[in-house]
Amino acid sequence: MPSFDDSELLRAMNAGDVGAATAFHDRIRPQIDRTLYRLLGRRDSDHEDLAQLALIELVYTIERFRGDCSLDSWVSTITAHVAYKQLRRRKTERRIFSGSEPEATLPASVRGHGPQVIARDLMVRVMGLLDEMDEAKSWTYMLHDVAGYDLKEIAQITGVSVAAAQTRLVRGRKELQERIQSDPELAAYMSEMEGAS
Amino acid sequence: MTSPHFARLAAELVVAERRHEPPRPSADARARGIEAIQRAMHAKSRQRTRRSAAFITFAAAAALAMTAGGAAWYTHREPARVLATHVTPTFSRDVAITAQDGASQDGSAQEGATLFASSSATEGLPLTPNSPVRAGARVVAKPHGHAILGFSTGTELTVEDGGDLTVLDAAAMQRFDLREGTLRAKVAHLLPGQRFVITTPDGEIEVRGTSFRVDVLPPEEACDDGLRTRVEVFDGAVVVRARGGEERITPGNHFPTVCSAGTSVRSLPHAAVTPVVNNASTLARQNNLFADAMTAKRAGDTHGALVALDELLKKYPGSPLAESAEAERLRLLRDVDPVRAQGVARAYLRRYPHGFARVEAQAIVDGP
Repeated sequence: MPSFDDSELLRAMNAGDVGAATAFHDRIRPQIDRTLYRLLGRRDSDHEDLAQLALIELVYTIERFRGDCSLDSWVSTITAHVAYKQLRRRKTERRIFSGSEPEATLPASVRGHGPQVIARDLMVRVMGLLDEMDEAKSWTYMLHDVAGYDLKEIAQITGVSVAAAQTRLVRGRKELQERIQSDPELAAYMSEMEGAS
Repeated sequence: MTSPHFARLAAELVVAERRHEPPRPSADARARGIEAIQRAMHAKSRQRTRRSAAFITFAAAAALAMTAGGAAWYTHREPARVLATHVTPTFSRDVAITAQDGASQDGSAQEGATLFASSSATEGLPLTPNSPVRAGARVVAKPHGHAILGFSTGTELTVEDGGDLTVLDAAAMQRFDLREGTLRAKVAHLLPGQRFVITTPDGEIEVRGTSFRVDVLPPEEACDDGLRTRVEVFDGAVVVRARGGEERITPGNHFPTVCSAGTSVRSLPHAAVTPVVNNASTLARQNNLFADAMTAKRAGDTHGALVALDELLKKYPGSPLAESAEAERLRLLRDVDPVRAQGVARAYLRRYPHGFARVEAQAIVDGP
């Protein structure tokens, strides 16, 4: 297999050199998987399909990449866009964010478990709350606060203006805050964690 | 306002939980990924080729639009608006596809098709009723067998007689690759942002809603210029662009009309599918439609006349009035839509090489 640096790889892909397909895959696949994992969790049943769709979308849009950001950032943005567009309709079928996580199993009284187990349980509950929220707000929150995209990238991923993305983020955070506060048990755990950190 | 500190803490929790690197893809997933890239590159390359020179693009007007008189006229006059070959995909709607073996429909015990989970899979499974078909899957019909793919959108694809079809995308972009064999498609009306594309080894077909069949012939049956793709339209209409020209294919007609100079294209055998045309009509209805067309023509209503003739030829392609209707249609089109008139004239000459309107038809084909 020929080895390519990023610029050679992009040139080869733009030229339609099929011999670069393997190198292109191996270069960008980890970033695709990383992005999907951050957004959807490790166990997402659609991970493989989404990765394939992202690969195809990247081939079709590669000529639009002009080096304004790193290749990894660009791959991540395109992948998030594919995931966002594909999975929004999950809302009517099953949960978007908590669908790939195990059910919350810990009762309120459980304090003897290790901190990692408790943290995981809290996360699952938070994901459940996100699934109850308006998807535009929950996605914006996930993209910004969890996956680390800036507002401009989120605007591109979700197809709205930067101002709209910012509004969604602020409202998403506020709504999640209120939902956590309305669950005394969860709020207590979170307060405890906050105090410990 | 309360600071959303819990929301921030929740984000930190998720980030911490997902900070680990995901596992590397399995060898099989890697192979599928590489193949997806290669296929996308090939398809992209074909698009570029199509744009530059020797390409084939088919686009079909929606059957619904074709049955509406005004819409039909509109598509005749401004076909580019209907083609919509480069709509930005939105990926906003997944399309559920299920498949069943054609043998299970007609009661035959013999297995007629095989489903492969991916295009690279070597071992397939026989189709069962409502087998889910996901993007990447491949359906191969055995010789004289067929498989029926039903879509949540109402679209139905029949992979016939050795057909080898891979589902590349099944979302707003519905994309398929027909490597060889025969595919019959009855495409439901597409919503804004949706695309339906079938790629073949030497062409690409983009559909807006119609019923037609595509064949990729073996190389030994190709035209002199290597063209292997054949199209037959059952319902609606298809505009075919090839070899620098354009031809409108109406129900009952084929593409290409001629393979190379003076050589007729072989007639495609009909597999176990029923064309959607209705031959069980009464002569009175055919007469009425033809009379309506002539009345409209005399009144100067070219549009109305064409609508009536199109309806007559679409519903009753085997009518004894068909030749007269086609002749009248090409005369009307000669003045208002010369491009379409040429296609209709070519179709007329192919169907009626000794017809009474052959001189007029030939004059239209030859151009000014």
